[in-house]
Amino acid sequence: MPPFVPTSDHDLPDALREAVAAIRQEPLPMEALRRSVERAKQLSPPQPPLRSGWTARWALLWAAVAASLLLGVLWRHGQPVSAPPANDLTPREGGQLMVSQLPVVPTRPISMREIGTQWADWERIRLPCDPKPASQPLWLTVRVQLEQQQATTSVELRFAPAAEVREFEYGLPPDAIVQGVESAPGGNLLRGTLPPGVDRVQFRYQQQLAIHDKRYHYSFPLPEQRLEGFYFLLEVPASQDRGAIFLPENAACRQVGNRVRYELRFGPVRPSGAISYLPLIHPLE
Amino acid sequence: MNPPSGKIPALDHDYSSRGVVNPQEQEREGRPLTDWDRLVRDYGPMVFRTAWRILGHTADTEDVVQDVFLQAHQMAQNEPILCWEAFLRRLAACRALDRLRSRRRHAELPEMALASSQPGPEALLLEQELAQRLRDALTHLPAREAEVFCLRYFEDLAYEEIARIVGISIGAVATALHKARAKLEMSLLHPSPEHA
Repeated sequence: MPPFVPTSDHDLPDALREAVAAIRQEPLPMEALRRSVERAKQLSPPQPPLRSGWTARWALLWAAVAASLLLGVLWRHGQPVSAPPANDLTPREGGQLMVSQLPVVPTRPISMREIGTQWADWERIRLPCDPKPASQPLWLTVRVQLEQQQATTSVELRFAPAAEVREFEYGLPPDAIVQGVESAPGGNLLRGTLPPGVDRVQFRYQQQLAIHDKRYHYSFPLPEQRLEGFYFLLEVPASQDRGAIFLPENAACRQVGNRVRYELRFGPVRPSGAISYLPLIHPLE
Repeated sequence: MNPPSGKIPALDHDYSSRGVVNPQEQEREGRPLTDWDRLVRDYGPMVFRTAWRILGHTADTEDVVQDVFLQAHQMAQNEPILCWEAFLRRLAACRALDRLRSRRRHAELPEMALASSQPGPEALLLEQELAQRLRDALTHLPAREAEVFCLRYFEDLAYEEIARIVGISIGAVATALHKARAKLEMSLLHPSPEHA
């Protein structure tokens, strides 16, 4: 054992210096040292960590993506809900079930912006036939054209804009014939599904006038559910309108050309019952 | 296993440049000599020596060496180790002091050297007793003071190097050493009834 040459313990007290010297003079167990080194070599080389610059760039990139997604969702849900503009209520050619779309909210493929933020919306998208509370229309517009014994009724249901799938139901007269639909499922109920972004349904059906007390009779029952607005228009040839009865009697009646138009407008509060029109023509005529 | 407290010194991460690949050693081992092998080969003895001087126990020292390299291996995958020598030296001192404190509770008998070149058994016994008393006293020191004391007097490091390794100022090193010396001297001159 070579003599120990103190280098750093000159400032130690005597008792402490001897103890430190005793520790430093202890011989190293070389076999244990070799075992330890060999064992430590068994570890696989560590992978160098990513550079901090890359980490910061990735963090910035992910933050930018998250911010853009959040802004998109907020912008989508922050749009004011405005009433759809009044457009031409003339039914399209072909007279069939039509689901039209608003010019301001065109139908687009379903995307993240359409779905919203709730996971339940995904389920609704995947299960469009899943029963859920029927959507309530806000406005109902009915336009009826009478020609002899046949009535052609054009109906428009207007809903509040929504970014989710909704279902609607409409009760048809028993003898209604909807072109393009062989039979209304569920009896007289016409049912359909509104894709996200679509807020308007138009359809047209034809029916033969019923005979009541030896007279033709057209009747339109007023809906019982709450509506923001209801508009009813009945057009009939002036030659056919002579001596006809229209109920309720407070309807606006005016002649435009060779046709007579009956108009009714109701707000949220409206009378119950039905709108009736009884032309003077006799069935035998 | 908790990482050592304080700032980890950072100088250089490219440890592959340390040491020179010895083709004979590579052939003898039968596998390519990796950078990790070179790291363990270069700094393994230093880690072992640091732990050995604090612990004075073969099995405990081997365990501490394994803990040190395992923790260094894990930490190197999370953040760059820029100065392996300083990092491993401090890690070895901290882990050895932790083991020394936990060993105090078990009250093990001091390990006796079976073969020694010491002049006589009497002197050997006295030195062993002195070393054991100093190690016991180290366990009563605060962690920072014990760490600084070991690096200074066991590893023979300068104040500047200790300050860089531990991450404190040179004045703080001097203060810690002063307190440690006073406490250790008191412990050695007036041993507690438990140690007596």
